[in-house]
Amino acid sequence: MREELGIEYGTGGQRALELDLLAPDVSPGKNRPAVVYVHGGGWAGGERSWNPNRILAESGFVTVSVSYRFTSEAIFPAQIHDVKAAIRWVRANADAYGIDPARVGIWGHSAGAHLAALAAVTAGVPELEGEGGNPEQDSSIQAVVPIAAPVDFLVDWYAVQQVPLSDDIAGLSDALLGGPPARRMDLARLASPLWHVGPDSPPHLLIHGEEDDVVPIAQARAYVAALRHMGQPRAELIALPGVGHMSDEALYPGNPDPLKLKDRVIEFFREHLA
Amino acid sequence: MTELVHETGVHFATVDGHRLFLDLFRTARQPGERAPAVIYVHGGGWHGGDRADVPGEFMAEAGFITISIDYRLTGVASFPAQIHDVKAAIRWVRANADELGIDPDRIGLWGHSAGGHLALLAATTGDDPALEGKVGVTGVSSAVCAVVAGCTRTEMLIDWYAADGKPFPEPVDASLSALFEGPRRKKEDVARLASPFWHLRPGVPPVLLQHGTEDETVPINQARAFVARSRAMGNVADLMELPGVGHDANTPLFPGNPDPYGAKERTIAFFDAHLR
Repeated sequence: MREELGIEYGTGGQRALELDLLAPDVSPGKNRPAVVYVHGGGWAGGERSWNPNRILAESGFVTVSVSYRFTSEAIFPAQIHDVKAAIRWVRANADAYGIDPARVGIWGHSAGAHLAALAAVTAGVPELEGEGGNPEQDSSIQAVVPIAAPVDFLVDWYAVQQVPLSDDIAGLSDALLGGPPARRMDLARLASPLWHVGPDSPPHLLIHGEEDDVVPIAQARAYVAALRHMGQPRAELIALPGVGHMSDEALYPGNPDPLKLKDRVIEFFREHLA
Repeated sequence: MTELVHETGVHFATVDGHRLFLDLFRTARQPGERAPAVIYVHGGGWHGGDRADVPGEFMAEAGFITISIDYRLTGVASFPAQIHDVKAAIRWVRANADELGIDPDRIGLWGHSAGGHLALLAATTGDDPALEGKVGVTGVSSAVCAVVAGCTRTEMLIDWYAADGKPFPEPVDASLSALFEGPRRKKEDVARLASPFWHLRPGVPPVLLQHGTEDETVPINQARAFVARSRAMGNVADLMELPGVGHDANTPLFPGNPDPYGAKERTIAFFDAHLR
């Protein structure tokens, strides 16, 4: 394994942004698929060191886990600007790390899954690209695995599913958008993967706990339906019975994985980044 | 029981050679009376149904002049013909308020299923040029004070069945394709225009939705989304959830039917609060 921590991948606002790289031993000339991980934490916390990239690196993928600006520093679209800068960095450094720039996937959990899904369905949307570095590179994504992802800020999915919404949780998306979504409609729409899906959206594998009370699962179901309806048949949801918001636990090395999620994620990325 | 006057077949507009009529229910008129009016829009998947299919008696007995209207069905014309006709009826009622003994400032809307959708859409888009049309009387306001909608679709773009983990029913897909003359997602602009949800803004009239929790034709989840959104904007919006009831949530409103959840009373109370 080759591990490099704290690589500077671009700038957000005025400061440097960093990522950690974990890859199989690099043999020159090898062209491997790459996968970007975006950590969760309500766009307000979390850290890139906490990621399940190892299962992919051990399966031959070059992986990176990225930091991005939190809502305490900047509101949306700063977060997606940073994530897209990281994707462009991957392409710009493809030769150095033995990456095939035509095969880049992304995954993430919770807030990170939101950013991963959004990056996947907004290739070429200029206002989401940002100025974080490597502007000559494209930020398109060829396959995405959003885990417990908020995919829409225009509908109150808590009301839809009759899940109580705490002020703490409501405050996270308010902070992301700079106000309640109902009063920030245009920005809320821009930030919602659901309203960007189209026939060119890449293959999706969603993972979501049926008992998730932080991000109710109904929006994931509607999102998959929208992808299929818009002409992307490779859209699937693995709904986990009895599981809440921590639906990424089984993906970490050593954790129990009764539904073989590790294998399914690896298989999905192998198939679509082959 | 109060004696009701029932006037049927009043012509209110002609569009492309198609004549549109309405029926009125009212109690005997008192001299100088200015009563509130409620306009009812029948259901039937936008392709069927009849203005005679109206639970008008209890509403008229409660003192509301109740008017049930025709609108062009999808066999005749696709959207926005239906909403144009509903708005034409509202304008006709307001233009003829003096003769009818109606207070033009106290007009409400009411509908079931597809008719509930049109009622809700008209209520959330009063005087909106994008949906006003040119049918019948023009130059009169189409705004209303309140709306009651039963078993009603509020949003046309999201797959609310999938959100519930259920398949999209074939007959509904066919009804919507006929309404939009094509698949929903390929007609995104029209579907958005036809969605009361996307017209919500601070200041839309008070809304009461009535919806069965077991409605498989129109899932209740999108009624919950509508009410949550409208309240977040500071509007009056209520959802009367009918436990165990399906898509026939208006059955209790018809004479002689059991009304276990007090739907008649809630409907009257709502119009009393917002049309008096």
